[in-house]
Amino acid sequence: MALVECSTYDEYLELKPLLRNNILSSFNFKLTSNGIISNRTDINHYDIFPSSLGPLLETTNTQELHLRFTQGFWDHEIWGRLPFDGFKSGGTGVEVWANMNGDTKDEVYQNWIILANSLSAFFCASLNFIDSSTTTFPRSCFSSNSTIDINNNNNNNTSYLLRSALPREPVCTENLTPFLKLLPTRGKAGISSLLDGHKVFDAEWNSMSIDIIKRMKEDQTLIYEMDIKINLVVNIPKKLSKNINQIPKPIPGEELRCDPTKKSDIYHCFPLDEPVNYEWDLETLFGKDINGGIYISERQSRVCMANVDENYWKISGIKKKNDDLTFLEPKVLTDSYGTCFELEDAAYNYDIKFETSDSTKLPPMEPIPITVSRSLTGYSQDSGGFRTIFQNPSSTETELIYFETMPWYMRVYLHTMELTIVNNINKTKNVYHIINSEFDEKNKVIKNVYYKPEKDRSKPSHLELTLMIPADSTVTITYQFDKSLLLYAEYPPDANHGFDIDPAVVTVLDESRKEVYQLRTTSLLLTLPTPDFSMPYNVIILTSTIMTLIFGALFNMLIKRVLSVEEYDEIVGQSSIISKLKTRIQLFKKKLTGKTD
Amino acid sequence: MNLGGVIIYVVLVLATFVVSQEQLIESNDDSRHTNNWAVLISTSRFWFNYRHMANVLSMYRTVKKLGIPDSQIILMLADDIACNPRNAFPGSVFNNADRAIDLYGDNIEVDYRGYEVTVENFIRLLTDRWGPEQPSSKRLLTDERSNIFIYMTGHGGDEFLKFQDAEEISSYDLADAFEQMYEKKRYNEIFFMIDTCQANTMYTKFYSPNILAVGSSRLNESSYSHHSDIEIGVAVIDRFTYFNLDFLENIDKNSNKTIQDLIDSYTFENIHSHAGVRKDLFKRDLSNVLITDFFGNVQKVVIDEPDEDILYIANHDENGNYVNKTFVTVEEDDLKIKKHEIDVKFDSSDEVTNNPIHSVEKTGRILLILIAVIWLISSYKFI
Repeated sequence: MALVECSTYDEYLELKPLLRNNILSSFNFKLTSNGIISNRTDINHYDIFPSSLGPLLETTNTQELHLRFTQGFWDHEIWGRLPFDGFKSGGTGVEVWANMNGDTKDEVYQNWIILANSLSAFFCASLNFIDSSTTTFPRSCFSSNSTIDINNNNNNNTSYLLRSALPREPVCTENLTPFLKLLPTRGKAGISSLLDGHKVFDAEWNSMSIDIIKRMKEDQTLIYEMDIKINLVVNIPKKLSKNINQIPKPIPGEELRCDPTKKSDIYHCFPLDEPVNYEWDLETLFGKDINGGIYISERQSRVCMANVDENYWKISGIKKKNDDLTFLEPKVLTDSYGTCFELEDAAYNYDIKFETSDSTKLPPMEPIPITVSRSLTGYSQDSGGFRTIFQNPSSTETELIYFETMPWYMRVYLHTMELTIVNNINKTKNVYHIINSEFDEKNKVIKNVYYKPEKDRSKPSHLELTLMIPADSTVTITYQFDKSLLLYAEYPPDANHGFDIDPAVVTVLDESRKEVYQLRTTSLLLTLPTPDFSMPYNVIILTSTIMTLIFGALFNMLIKRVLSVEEYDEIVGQSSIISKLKTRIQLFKKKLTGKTD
Repeated sequence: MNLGGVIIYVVLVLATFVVSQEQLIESNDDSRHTNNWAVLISTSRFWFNYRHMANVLSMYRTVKKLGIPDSQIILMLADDIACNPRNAFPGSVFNNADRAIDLYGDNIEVDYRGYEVTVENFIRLLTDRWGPEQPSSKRLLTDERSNIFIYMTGHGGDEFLKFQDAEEISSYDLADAFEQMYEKKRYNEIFFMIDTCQANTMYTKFYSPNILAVGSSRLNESSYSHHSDIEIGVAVIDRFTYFNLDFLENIDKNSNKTIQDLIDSYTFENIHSHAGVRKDLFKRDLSNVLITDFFGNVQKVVIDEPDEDILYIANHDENGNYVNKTFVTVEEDDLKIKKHEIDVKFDSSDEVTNNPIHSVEKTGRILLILIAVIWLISSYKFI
């Protein structure tokens, strides 16, 4: 069948050693679907492309879907540029954005909610917490990759880009499982057989991403392209010691490596840096080797290693079955970097062995275009500030788009925005304040500001800045905000932990305003004024007690009369039949005994 | 003497005897369920409540091992323990200091996690009251032939169980939710198990039929943890759950062990608290209730016998004209033939469990007619 031949699958693993004995592993899976008929009532045929996702995208009219699950901190200074120039890794937590078609914004938003809920079930993440208070419509930071001309395809349909991030979401095995289930190999064969939650989430940094794009091919058929990437950074010495004992234990005295130039005895030891000569293989990193190649794809699945100095590094591919070991022939492929090993046979297991005599001998790090760090300032319960520092290490000015969303309980005062530009070479410092009239003319940094203020409980604030960071300089942007008081029920169960704020997204543009690099700041932890949650109970109990006391006293006063004992006896003596009867009996007794008082 | 009255009396006595015998047959019969579901919930947040997550994950492992598929297990975990920064074993949760079994494994589906675990969501799940956007895998899609195993653990007290250290569910909420489930025919039988302090108070307010409940400790009694793992740094499992698992570990899909055997295994020496059982709502004798009726996934087939052809009603208006209301386009004649074939096939099969209710109804009807006839005769004589 012609349709079946359309769907393709390709997978490869790229390994790249990083400084300080780290290694970056990038798992790449690329799937394309058969030709699809974009009509809600028709049933499409899916084979390699997951049939669970296709109909969901069709019913919600989604043209593009991007999902990011990330945990850990990417150390720009030591590890250099993010893999895939940062376009495949999200900020801490879960991030999702989609390009959806619809007649009205409301219709698109409804579909977005359905999409988020379905994805939450699919990926076992709390994506159902996405609502209007976390959703933004970004303008320029997330460019569309879809090639479908919407106006041609569907009349008066408009395309909307929606984005939401949940920085608090943990990423764990239950999130990895659905990723593997999307693959035709189901994680049983090929490079995906290496992926195991215990190892992936033990990494220094990990990021899982899915990008699905609906694309029109040359022959006018529509297809889905899905790109799944799982990136992780593993620290080799740490992993080697964990493989012996998962719990870090102090190194015994005799195994300590002390600096011989300094005094060292039984009590003194100036430790040396980490050793640089290591030997490891994929099994060390992932706990198992690759369970054979795959037959599904046209191309063989392959493992590629970045180019390294052969004098210091020895990389060998091993093919094994039982005790039968053969070495693989390294290949240089045009579309992958470095040397590759192809996994040809499904009946064999594959492993890659690494030996290094000096792990610091690595190709020079590609320069990072910009570093960005963001922090919260202030310490009061009712207000605070943001400080974002952009550092341009290069000798050319860099244009970028800074995208930031803040939850509604942060009331941002944009008029407090202040800009400090410090030239790192001649140490000149200029401070600009946004309310000054000459702000626009004097500063050449802020090119454009797009700001949409927050709306209580329904909209986050949304800030997009186009910045031109001068060469060799540091730009600091600060602004202030007020913290809102939430309603009692709006606080999460662990309110004292603080509230996570989405990482900001920075997209670097080149001269032709093409997106060349993307990075995210860390998420922030905001402390809001948090009430003592037992207070309402105290208040209720205290109020109830006082109410009872007052009511009881009042009630007694209203319905009871105060009497002396004599008065009481008198009244009782007059009215009661029993007392009358008693007196009668007493009189009768007296008569009988004949006694008188 | 009124002969008619005597006859009526005799017949009535006979009738009650017959009916009670019928009921006896019914109650001794196998469970009428055709599918099994499990709702497993840990309501505690924070790392030091590791053991509650381990309790629930142990139960998850057990029901999965005995054959309930992930799609029929609703797992609710109030906090992320496996990938918690404090966990020295990322991606793993252990229920024993020997760390022999990793409960988190590499194929787990958590349906509700973190802040999603709330009283509201739990009640919504049980009663299936959701908005249209709720995906089906996060719903409890049970029917009147579903046996549901509900396991709860967390911190509780007299007639309440805390959720996330912020809110609590009371025994009344739970009892009313179960009643709603019963009214909506959302279950056949429920096995409710709870491991928390003063757990037995949680099931005291149940009033819906066919619920069997066990709890770990009675009023004013604490439930205790079993042991700690020094390297994880916290207690890893509760005693009641530990001894339940100890028993369930030896059960396989074909086991003939009953719930009574499970309950008999609870001792104060082991659990350090008085485990309780409530069986007054449950009709069957516990020594006839297999463990696998709740923990396993034993498939049985029961033939549905609708009085009217639903498909015909759905596709035709009052005058019998064909109206295409649904997307299903099957010729009516074909359908009848198919239906007939199915009937024939299943009639000859041994696997069909005959619905006892029908036979009871039939006997009852005959008896009623008999009584009416005798009544008429006797009253005629009397006149």
